[in-house]
Amino acid sequence: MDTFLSYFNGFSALLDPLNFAVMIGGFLVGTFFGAMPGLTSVLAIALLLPVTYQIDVVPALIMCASIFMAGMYSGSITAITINIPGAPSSMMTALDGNKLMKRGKGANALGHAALGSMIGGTLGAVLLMAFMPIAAKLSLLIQTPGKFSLIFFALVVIVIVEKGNIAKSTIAMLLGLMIATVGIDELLSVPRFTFGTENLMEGIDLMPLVIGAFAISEILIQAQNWRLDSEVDLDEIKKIRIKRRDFIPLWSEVREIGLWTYFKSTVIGYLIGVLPGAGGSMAAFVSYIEARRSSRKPQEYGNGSREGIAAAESANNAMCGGAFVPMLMFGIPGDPTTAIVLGVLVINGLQPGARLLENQADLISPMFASLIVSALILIPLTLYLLGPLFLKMVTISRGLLYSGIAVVALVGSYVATLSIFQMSLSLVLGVLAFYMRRASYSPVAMLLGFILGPDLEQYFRRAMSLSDGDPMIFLTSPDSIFFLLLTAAFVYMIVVRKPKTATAP
Amino acid sequence: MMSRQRLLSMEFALPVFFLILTTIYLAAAFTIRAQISEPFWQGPRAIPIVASVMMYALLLFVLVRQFRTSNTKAQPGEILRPVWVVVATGVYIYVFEPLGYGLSTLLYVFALFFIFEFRTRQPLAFVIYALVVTAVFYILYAVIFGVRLPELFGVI
Repeated sequence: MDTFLSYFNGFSALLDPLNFAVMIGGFLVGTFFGAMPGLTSVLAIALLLPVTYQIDVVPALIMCASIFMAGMYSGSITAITINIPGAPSSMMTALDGNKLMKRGKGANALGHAALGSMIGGTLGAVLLMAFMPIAAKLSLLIQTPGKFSLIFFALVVIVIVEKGNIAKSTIAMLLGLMIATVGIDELLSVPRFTFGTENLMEGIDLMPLVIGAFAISEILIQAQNWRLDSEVDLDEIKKIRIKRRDFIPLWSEVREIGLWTYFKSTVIGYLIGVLPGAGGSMAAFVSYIEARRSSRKPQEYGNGSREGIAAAESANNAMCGGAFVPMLMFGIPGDPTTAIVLGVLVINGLQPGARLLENQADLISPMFASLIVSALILIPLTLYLLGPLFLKMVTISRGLLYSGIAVVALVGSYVATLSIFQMSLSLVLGVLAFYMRRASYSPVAMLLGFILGPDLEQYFRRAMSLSDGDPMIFLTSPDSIFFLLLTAAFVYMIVVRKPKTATAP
Repeated sequence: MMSRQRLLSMEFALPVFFLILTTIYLAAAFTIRAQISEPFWQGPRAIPIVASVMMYALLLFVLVRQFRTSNTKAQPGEILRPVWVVVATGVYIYVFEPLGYGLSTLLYVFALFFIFEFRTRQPLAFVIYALVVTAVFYILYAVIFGVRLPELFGVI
């Protein structure tokens, strides 16, 4: 009961002028970054991470939640209008949305994308709030060996979802783990890998890794592809006329899609969100394929199916709620955005786990409220009010945009610690991430290895201490066995077993 | 026989770089000494050594697979432009404290505008946009969030 009361208080916290302002500001920033091809909500949160050092944890989390929700939705804007998904999670939306756009039904497609995002995002956040107390109770059942196996499970899932690139993804994850071991060893207070440098004694901060991996590397990628990605055709965009009333989907169309499609896609998206490393793209893909499989009109998929748009958008926004569950209860982020949110929690001295909900629910409840308000109110409201302006966003010069991002990234990495060393580290890690991306090594796996690595090591060593060095503790502890079997099951399902279903259309 | 160009491609160069990095890391791992004697698996060297061994195995696997692949994926895009961005950023970081936020950022934005070819044929717009970018982030960090940014002669 106390938990639900604190959820209610979370909504009242949004009425505070600062909280309200950061929610709206975050939503608009997330919409902009999500809609601009090449920019993502992860980059938006990475750039705003330094800002979270300057404000309280509650507004910081509110802002992260609204950016996350907005970024996941707004990728559909350019996916539909100019067939360039603003975010990878909107790839499936582009397939049908742009076909509708070409038939003069662009506003209608945008309306259906917004409705799907609204339903998926809201239900996903409600499911998050409903299952948090259960997840909190479950987290109390997990002992030290089980915690090791849980993190091991998460790391294995993170690398195996990169199908076809498992070796490279594992290398990236191990690299993140190795970077995380730099500094003082937490258990024995021994310096490691400092190479006699005082700057490395405190270890490598999350900030330069995030700024480097997601901001600097992105600028370098854009610089590399400068001539390949020609500027958006302004004349084509000027020709597009969108009226506000066309944004509102017809009831008959919604009935044809069916509430079951929205609900099923939401549940798929939510569950995929819970899986570490899976993310919005997989959520949209799986629910799109499932919706096509069970559709009465599968032939319409890929040719302007509103049902396809609804399925993909419901799922990728529902993923937002799911991704918070393992992060808040077990400290295991589901995707890069929640990894950065985890960083915000840790910077502010909050530790994920059951006690977070028990003792500090007042700090995280406004974040849940921000997720719901962003999905339920801000998505449809911004589409209606700002929809006709959305297309103008892509006409902003990329030269100006990337110059601004470079400044905010570097100055941001300085202001967090007032250290030139951290700034330099951002550049070094950015160059490394750039080359990694060029050679198909996942920077996301590196980030998650960096975040989960220290916990993996700590729980491993603690479990070994508890058993006097006997590794059988991982096979005799029931919770540990459960997660090891789960790991084996996932490896079998994703890597070993051949898929029966068709691939993307 | 492999061409030299192929060996220098990112598909080979990056794993080789990681191999060197892992070797340095592993050597440093062996030098870690705990003040109190701990069994190996409970000590601060265990996970770094295991991670290094796994890295070696995976990097060798990736390199062998790459050798067996008949051709390397061509890397489209420019080479020099990202290099210029890195150089400009390195210089910016170097002069950030000595020159202060205002001047160093203005020069950095000029450099980026040149690299990204933004308004290079309109000198007035070029300068105005650079001043605006510099000012906007100064206002964000120094005025709104009250961060003390480096100054030159007590000015921004």
